[in-house]
Amino acid sequence: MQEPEISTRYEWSAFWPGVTGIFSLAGLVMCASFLGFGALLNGMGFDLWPGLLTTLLIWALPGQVVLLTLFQEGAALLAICLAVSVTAIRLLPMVTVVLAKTALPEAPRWPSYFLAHFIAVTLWVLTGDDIMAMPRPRRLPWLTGLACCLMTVMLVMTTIGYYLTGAVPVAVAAALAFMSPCFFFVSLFAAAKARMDLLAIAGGVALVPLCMRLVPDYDLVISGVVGGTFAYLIGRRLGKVR
Amino acid sequence: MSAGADGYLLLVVLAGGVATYIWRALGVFAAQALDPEGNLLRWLGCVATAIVAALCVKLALAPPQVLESTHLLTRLGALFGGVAAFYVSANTTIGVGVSFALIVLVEQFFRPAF
Repeated sequence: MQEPEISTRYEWSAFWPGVTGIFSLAGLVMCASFLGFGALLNGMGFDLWPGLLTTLLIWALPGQVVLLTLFQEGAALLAICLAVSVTAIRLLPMVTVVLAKTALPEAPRWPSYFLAHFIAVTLWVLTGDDIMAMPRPRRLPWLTGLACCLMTVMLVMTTIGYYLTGAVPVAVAAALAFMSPCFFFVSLFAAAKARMDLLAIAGGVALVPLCMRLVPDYDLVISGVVGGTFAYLIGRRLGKVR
Repeated sequence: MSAGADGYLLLVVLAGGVATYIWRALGVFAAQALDPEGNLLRWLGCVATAIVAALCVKLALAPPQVLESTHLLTRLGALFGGVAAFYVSANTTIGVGVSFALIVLVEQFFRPAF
């Protein structure tokens, strides 16, 4: 069965096993973030539906928060779209890296375009060793199953958070809200295989305080591109092995 | 909110969705065009890593509303304490658990004592 030739079909039987991926640290951390988002929504005086719709259509919390904040401040439609779009630039490299590891080059394209809508930091972090251990035709269906499950659960979490506002102590609410940066940060180190990856982390960490002052609207993209490029160039010179 | 304001908000969210998906679609194009083992993809991987690292530190330096009551050092301590715990334990869950415990303990018990 395991022919070395290039597969042209996805094995969609991996969709349902992917759903179980939600029982993971990543799933738990994401739940905490979306509970927090629901609470924020309520605190800002919004109805529930705009929160749910941004989760469904944007699926990246920084962009969702920027959109709702600017709307409330009365910003113009074009200004809001530009600001949201800037927060989404960071998704481009993540989508490319995830699809390069999971998509079948000879298969139809629509599954890639569908999965791309769900790719943000969490799916990028999850596309690690476990996924790479699967046969290639199963990877994208597995991730798509997980992604659909995550979105369904996060819609529920947004709703619960909306109605639970103020029910937990401030310190616990703060700790829950800060879970996702901590999870992402630790995951970066856990996923670092080469010196290049550690240099990229260091680059982002070192540049962001500066970029926040100099280019506040583009701080993440600029610290990422500059820091990542430096890491890539230095890492190549040093060699790939740690 | 009035129906007109709701209609406008709906339009804003739809437009925001499109403005976000554009970058994801470009990511799909790039994935199809690039060699999966190639240098360009390796570079993009570095950029993604640096962006996420920058995002984490930015959230510690300029926290969202819920986190404003916490101390800067608590937030930075949680980030780097989690990494330290990960290196000691070789376990991501333990790392993140330490981050969580640090925030709750420091903010609930340690800081109010002063």
